[in-house]
Amino acid sequence: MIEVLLRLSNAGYAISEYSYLGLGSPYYVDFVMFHKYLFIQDMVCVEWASVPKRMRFNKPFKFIKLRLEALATYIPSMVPSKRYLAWLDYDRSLDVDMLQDIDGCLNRVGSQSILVVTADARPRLPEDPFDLDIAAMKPEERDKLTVRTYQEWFGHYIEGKITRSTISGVHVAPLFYAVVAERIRETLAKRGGGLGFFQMFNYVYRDGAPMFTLGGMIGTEEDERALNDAGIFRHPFVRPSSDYLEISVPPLTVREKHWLDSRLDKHLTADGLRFELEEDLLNNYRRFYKEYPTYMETVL
Amino acid sequence: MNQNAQTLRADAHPSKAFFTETLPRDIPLSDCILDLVDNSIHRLITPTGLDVSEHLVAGTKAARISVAVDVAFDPSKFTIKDDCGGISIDDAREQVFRFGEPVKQKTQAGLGVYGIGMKRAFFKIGKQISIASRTIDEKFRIDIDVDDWMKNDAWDFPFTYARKENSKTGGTDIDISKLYPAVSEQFASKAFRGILVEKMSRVFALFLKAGLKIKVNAEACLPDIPELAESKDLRAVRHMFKKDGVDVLIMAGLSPKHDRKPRGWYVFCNGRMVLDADKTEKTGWGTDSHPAFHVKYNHFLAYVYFRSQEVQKLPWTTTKDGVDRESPIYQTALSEMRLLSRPILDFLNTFYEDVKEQSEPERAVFEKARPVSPLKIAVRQNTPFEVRVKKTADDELVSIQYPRPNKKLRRIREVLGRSSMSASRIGQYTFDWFYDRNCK
Repeated sequence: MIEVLLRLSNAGYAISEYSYLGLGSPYYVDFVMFHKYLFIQDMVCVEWASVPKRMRFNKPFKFIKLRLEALATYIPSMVPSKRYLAWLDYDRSLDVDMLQDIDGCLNRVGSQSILVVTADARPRLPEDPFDLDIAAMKPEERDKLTVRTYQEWFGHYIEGKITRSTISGVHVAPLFYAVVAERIRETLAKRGGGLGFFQMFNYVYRDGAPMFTLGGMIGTEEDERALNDAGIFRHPFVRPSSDYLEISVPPLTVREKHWLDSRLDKHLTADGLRFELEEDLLNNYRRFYKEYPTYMETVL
Repeated sequence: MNQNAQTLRADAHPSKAFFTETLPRDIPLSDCILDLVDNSIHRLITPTGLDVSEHLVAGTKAARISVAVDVAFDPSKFTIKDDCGGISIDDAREQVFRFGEPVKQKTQAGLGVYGIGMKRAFFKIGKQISIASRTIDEKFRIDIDVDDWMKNDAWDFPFTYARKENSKTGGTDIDISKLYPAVSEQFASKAFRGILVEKMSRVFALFLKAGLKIKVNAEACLPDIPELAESKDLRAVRHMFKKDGVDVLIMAGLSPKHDRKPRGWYVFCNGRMVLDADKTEKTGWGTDSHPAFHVKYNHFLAYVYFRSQEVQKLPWTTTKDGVDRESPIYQTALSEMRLLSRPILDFLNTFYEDVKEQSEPERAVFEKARPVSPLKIAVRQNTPFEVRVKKTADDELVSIQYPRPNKKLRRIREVLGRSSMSASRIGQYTFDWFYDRNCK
């Protein structure tokens, strides 16, 4: 994602002057990365957590404004028409609250802002709204409840009905993609001003739980032309349609990563490694190694 | 028969029956009477420049107006009299009795929008209408017999008289007789007067505060503006923006604890209420992933004021009891309404946590808040909804976990009749059961 965002400057977008809005975690990985590589200095971290001391303690830079409140509470404070890079990085599956967050953010950010949404791509219902032990339910009962709930939440965003087969896979990224994409389209259509969404990111990342990410720029036709002329949509990591890029990289230790980085070329095979790693995972690493900092590398 | 298409014409003339019989069906009687009051106020606005919405935002007081509108009715007749300035003979000839506002009048301030309210009210109420109006230097009268008017092809109304004559004040008197039976029945009902007074008290609240007097069968309407609850720890949101020549002011928060009436959104155009305590999709409930109204939101109270010098830009319907949801300015306002209301709804949701004690600090903040007039909030700068909840160590929750055989949990579910109750809910239920019986 950073590689693509860096290229935006070729299209005339001074990304370093954007404001970054991120959801919190005590690691602040995205904040460190976007400050280090995109040179963004105006940053807000919104976190509704029960660990305020931890959030304050781990804040890596003084200029990060920490707002310990729900995103819904923060959104009215967003400066209308300011250009944001907003990454709504949720650690749970898609739900109606997220759609409201997306709607709210899109109604506040200025043209040329970038919105990215990440969520758990598995069909998992939150426990709170249901007075039921979902984890203890039989799979058929759980699936029925999920289908019924998803039809109620998401049915009007997609064509056709949500059925058991919709949610039967390892992940439901295509469903979540369709819902979020339609939410974005509807919000911008109502907002008017000729604004559209120019999608750049459609990823499914598998490292443990599958996560889906959808992102792009909010702008006018002029912005679409500028992005096109700068070759953004032809970048190998840009996915402007419903076809997602599956990113599956191996979990590596720092030592393994450094060893690979010093020897990585097209000739290196899994047989030539000094540790076990499957061939397809090695190929994935070869493809994505530049976007693969370990947590240690990022936070030190 | 093969006719030359160029000589064929499809008749698109309006029919009088559409205005006398069809249109009145779309509006209840009480709203028709409100339309007539709108007309009185509109005649006041044009010469005086009265703008109650501007004063709301600026915190200034409108120069006190001393005008009155008197509505009176019984089963045989209806009258409305005002001293709001009257109608000139020229306006009566060229505009007031047109069906539909002439295009050239599009850009004007006030409450007169579509040029249909007065006529529709006439045809709704009765068949014999007399309208007499005087300005400070002229007067006229027009009498309409609806049955006679229907019989001829002319679309105009002859003047009974029109002449120069000086008066101290201008005003308009409308008398309607030969009432329709359904209208007579409503006018005979004691409840109808009360409903009308209550409605006018809310719809014209800002005008009443500025000095306008409205009476219904001698009962005065007093301004009724529900108050918001505030304290040092609880503040309503105030947000104003401008778009395409329209000012939009939104205020939202909680109604005070003693206010038992379910609230919702109150929407105004140029100071006149068009939506009253709305809890429907008209104000965004249950749309675009926004929650539908629920009893737990009864204390949600919010206002939206639209104001423009060009009435056609405002999002009101012809009946002024709703909004034009397709209007671009309303769509923009609706998006803001949704995002500004979310923190308030989230706060109200905290009152219904699984563990009652978990919401006690939030309830304490709410209970301490005192009523504040929205007029005081309107004059502020834009401020977000704020609530400061102080929690002590005693308020913190401690998680309790212990194993028990599944068959015992199954038995508890059977006894309670809740086959899908979660293990954690069973734990909470049994804990609370013991505490309530032995520790209180």
